[in-house]
Amino acid sequence: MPANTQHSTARDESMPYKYDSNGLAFGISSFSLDGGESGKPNYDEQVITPHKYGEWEEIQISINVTVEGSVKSVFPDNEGPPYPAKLILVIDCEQTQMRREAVVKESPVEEKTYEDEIVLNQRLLRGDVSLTPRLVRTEKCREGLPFAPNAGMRVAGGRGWTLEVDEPEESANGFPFVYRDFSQESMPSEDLIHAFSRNPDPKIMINDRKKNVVDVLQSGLTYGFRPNMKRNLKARFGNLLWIQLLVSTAATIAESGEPEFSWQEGVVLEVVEEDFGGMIVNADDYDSAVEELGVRVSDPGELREFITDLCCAVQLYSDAAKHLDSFIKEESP
Amino acid sequence: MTETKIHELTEAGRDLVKNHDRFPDEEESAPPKKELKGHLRSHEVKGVELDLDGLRDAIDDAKAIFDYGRRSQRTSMDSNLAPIVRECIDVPPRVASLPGFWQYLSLIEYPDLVTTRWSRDNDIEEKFLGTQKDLYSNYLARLWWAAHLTKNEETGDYFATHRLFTKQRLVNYLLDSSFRRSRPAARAFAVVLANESQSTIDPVGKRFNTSRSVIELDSRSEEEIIEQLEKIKARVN
Repeated sequence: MPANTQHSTARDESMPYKYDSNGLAFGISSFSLDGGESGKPNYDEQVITPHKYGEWEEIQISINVTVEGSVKSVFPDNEGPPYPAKLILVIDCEQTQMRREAVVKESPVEEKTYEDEIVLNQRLLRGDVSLTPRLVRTEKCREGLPFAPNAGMRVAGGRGWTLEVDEPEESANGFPFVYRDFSQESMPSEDLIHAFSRNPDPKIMINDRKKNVVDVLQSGLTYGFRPNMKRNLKARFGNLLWIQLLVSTAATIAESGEPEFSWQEGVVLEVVEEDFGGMIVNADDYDSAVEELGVRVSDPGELREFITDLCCAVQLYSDAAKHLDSFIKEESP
Repeated sequence: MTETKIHELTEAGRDLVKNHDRFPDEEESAPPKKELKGHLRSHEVKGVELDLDGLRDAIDDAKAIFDYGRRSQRTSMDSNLAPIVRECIDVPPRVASLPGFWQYLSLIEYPDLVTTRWSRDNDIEEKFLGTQKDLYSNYLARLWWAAHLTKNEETGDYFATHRLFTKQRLVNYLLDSSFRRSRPAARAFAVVLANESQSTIDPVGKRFNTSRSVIELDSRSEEEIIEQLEKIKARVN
């Protein structure tokens, strides 16, 4: 890696100059709908869900963005603080083709917390809206590399929030599917077909650049190649999702002794109530299932066996054999 | 604000078209309107202005004026109709993001337009049924979104829309790009690359897209983006 390159955890933020991917701490303190009572943000998952509060036309979001001391590293010593940069929020709604910036603070920017209010009209939105903080240079940098040399270049970012305008679509199998453009910032590799997302609740993100896959998944037919293929794809995605849900839940239990999120409690209940749970834990009630799940990931030997059992259990749960069998029977030449 | 009723074709309606014996593949075939009307979902929506008769008149005029047997004339027809579709179907983006809304308009209100414009192509079914995943597929959605994303919001003019429709390759590239969502970038791309060949459009688009990993597109004005695209174009040529 060249000396002047800083890598962040996000794939798309490998920058050819100094970049602080965690230099901005972005928070939402509250939101209200049509000027009414405040809604409660989900701070763990960084999401707000106005669709859970009934009908609304306009959302007012109270935000705060802290410019951390670490951003000093992306400016030459003689450039501040205050820094020649503006602080913005990128508002991006894929379904309604809307992407724009909201300026939180024009240049120059200090190392401090800025507060602002964002107002968005539902007429412009559908599905999920991402809100991402950015610090953008507003002047040329006389020193040049390894500092971002030009105005308009982003030099710092931070973890975004999601505004969930509409309830996520649910597939027939009960797995929430959302379609996302993986070529976008902060998305997994665009070579992937799907990825697991916990934000705000567990769901499968399908890469909508994979047009043939999307076309099959969106087929509403009952008979023929596409619906058969769709059942197979869903079984495959479902298997992988369940493995991740169970490992994630078990790992949380091993760490803290109990499930942390309501969806993790749901996973434990499913293990207790469904036949396939018997292959993973030998428990008849919720508390003993929690205890056993924690034990099953507690050391490498246990984990190895747990994964093997899990792969068998989810195959049975998703009826994978039946779907594959009927696909081969019906679609063989 | 008054409410207007809009219609969406349901998934069952889409399946009915996909399974139809004749339509849309056979020449002179028409959509099974009567059956499709049994597969509609309706909503009352505020802030919607639909001038379906005005659009009908414009479509009839376009069909009379343009020689749609010629490719270049078909592109001119698109350029003529796109702003009219945007103005006559004056819906908020939240409504325009519903694929079933465009499928209803294509199959029930204006199937003759879609057939006239696309019957020489192999993918006519997607021009009726295309989804929001591909903005360029459903014909009416393609015209509407192309006009919407390139309309000058300050002056209300469609100069960049007409520049965009100088080449189908340019329309497809823009509507398939992720920078289309930034409206200044969409307009700039149309203006700078109007009349250019695919051998220029593709590499310029690719380099421009790559530059977004460092340059904050949303912070730039249309003029700044035009300047950047001109520089890239000069390097490519």
